[in-house]
Amino acid sequence: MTADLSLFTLPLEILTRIFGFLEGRQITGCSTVCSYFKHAIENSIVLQYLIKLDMFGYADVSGSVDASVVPATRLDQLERHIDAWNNLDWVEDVLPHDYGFGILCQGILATSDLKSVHCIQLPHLVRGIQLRRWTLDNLPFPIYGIEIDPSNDLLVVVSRESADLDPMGSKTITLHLLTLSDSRPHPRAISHTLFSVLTHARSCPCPAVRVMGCLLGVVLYFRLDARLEIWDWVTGQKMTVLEMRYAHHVYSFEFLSATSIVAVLPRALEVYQILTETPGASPVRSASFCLPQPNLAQYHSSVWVSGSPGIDHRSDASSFPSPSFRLAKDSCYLTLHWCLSGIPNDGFEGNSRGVLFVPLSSLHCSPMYGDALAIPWQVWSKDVYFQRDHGKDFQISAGRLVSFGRSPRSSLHWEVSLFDLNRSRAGRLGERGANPWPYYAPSHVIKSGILRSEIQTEGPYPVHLATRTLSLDGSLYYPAYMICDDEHIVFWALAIDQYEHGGVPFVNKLIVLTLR
Amino acid sequence: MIVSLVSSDGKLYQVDEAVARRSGVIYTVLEDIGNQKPIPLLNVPSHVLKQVIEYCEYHRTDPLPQDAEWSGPARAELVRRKAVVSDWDKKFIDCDQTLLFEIIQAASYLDIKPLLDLGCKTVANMMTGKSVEDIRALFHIENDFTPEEETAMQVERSEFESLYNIMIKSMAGGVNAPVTSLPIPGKARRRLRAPHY
Repeated sequence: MTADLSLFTLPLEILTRIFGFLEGRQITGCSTVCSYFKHAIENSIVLQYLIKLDMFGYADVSGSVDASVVPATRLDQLERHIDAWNNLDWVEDVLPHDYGFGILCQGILATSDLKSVHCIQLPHLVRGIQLRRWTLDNLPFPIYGIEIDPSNDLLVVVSRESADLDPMGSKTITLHLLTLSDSRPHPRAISHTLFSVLTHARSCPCPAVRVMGCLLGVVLYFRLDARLEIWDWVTGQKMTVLEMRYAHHVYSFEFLSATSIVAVLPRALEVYQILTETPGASPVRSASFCLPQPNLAQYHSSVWVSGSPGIDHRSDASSFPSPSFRLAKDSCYLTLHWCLSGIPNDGFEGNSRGVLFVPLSSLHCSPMYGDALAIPWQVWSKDVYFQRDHGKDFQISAGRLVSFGRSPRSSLHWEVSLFDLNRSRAGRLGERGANPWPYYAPSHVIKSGILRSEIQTEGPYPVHLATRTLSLDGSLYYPAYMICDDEHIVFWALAIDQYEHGGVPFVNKLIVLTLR
Repeated sequence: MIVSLVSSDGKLYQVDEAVARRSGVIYTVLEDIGNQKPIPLLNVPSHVLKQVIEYCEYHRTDPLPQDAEWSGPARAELVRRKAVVSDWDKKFIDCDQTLLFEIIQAASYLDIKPLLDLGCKTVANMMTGKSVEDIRALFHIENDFTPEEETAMQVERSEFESLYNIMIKSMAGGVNAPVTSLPIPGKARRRLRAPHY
């Protein structure tokens, strides 16, 4: 047959199939090899879709699209999704809400008080998701804290009960596994209580709970020490324990993937691998990064991961809709938020807050065991703009920094601004202009034997994408908090007279921005 | 039941019906016409057909793949991408380029999806991590772009790259050099190394 058979002579559909196995950026590379490749790539909608997904750091969520959707429609949806994100072209809804603020996960906002959990399925008219509210209030125990995972229909409730007749005031902490839709014992879990533990801690902070697929992580505080435990909530098996030398050693932790966690220690960020095949084995530290720390008086930090890495483990039984696109892992950010005091001579007076954005990819790519690596990091201080409610709160979602605050033009208006973290422009500290996020990078130099911090004032700024004024009347309401996921930004607005007169604030409104 | 297949150069191969039915084309022929006379495969030479039969013999008990072609955009693609290639398959497909392409073409002609995917994936793996020049050299492809076209594509490409990398690059050096001189408490206090970029 053909002696000179080569890649070049293969039929178009086979070529398309081959390219389909490549990453988006590699496909664009191939289009510059020769005109036949270019032709094949430009004419395949599926390949164009893969390129776009990769270019904007998204991944397809399996299970979220029904089989009848053709690639062309999906490409169109992706383009609209990206456009809407970049232009803040969102639908604004105002919902009455008489409960506290809560956690938002995949479009479900859950709030808890002592006796009940209030859930709202945020509406998304384009995708045909209706507003739905339900309350789970027949729980037989007092609620201390909650965590939800709609992709598994899971509600984790932490309860705390005082042990009877104990002069030491010890408390029993119990983790309950319920369904999010109707608070039944979760059908996939073997037992509806995961575990129960007695603690003598005097001030017993609520254990932080995180869920990733089948794994559940919890930090338990005891009188002298703290423990990070990882459980398999389906089988009720304890996978691993990370012992902390003293209480509050772990400020915060998050799952990075189904087999790794990141924990924030006082001066370092450590990544641990969980050996899921051998339950009971201690976690392996795969990376340790020192934190930028201009001053030893750091007193608080917390960490969270943007994007929804857990959605890989979606269970088909869940009745909750999943987001239309998921961020690919290497475009998720880890955000570390800390407060420190007294940085001299930098224009930040008094207490200063810092925000550290770490691309997750950088945590994965340098797992040198035992070596402390300095991570490439970006800091924008929110402090300068924090005064007088400019830059009130911020979140990261879909690789963008979402920040909200009072409008610089009119104090009666609140506005939300969007910055692209993946792109930045050069700038100088002090140029405030439209950008409330001055770049701030402390470096450490030893001058005459003393370790000093110096503040770099030049560096990249995140690129401003869009600003949108909320329709909220700033003289009546005060947006106190913001939370966002891949498709929603939710503000919790208090009526201003209640807020200012110091009474128990009633929450009166939720302002929900929904991606078109 | 034995099915007779005739290659393009006239050689006769006798295979089990279960093995032959792994090919979508032969499956249809057997359903429509029945197993009466040898099936001529005009596009498949004997040395390729031998390989294809070897593959089908080995995989005779695998479940037939569902026709998931684009059942969600790119989802089939993603699922296939994740599929692990077995050691036997790896050894089987480890052959010279010409034979590889012949096998791919035959798999496409005979409609044997798993084999087609195996072949395509192998070619894709050969391309992964290679520069444009390397790919051209690897597959003996001539660059048929004019210099103007090439510059235009370079610009396009660099824009695309900048979307990804500006963050990492800007963090790697210069003003924003990572802090390496911080004291780290306790066990973490080890030799500090500059990260590799």
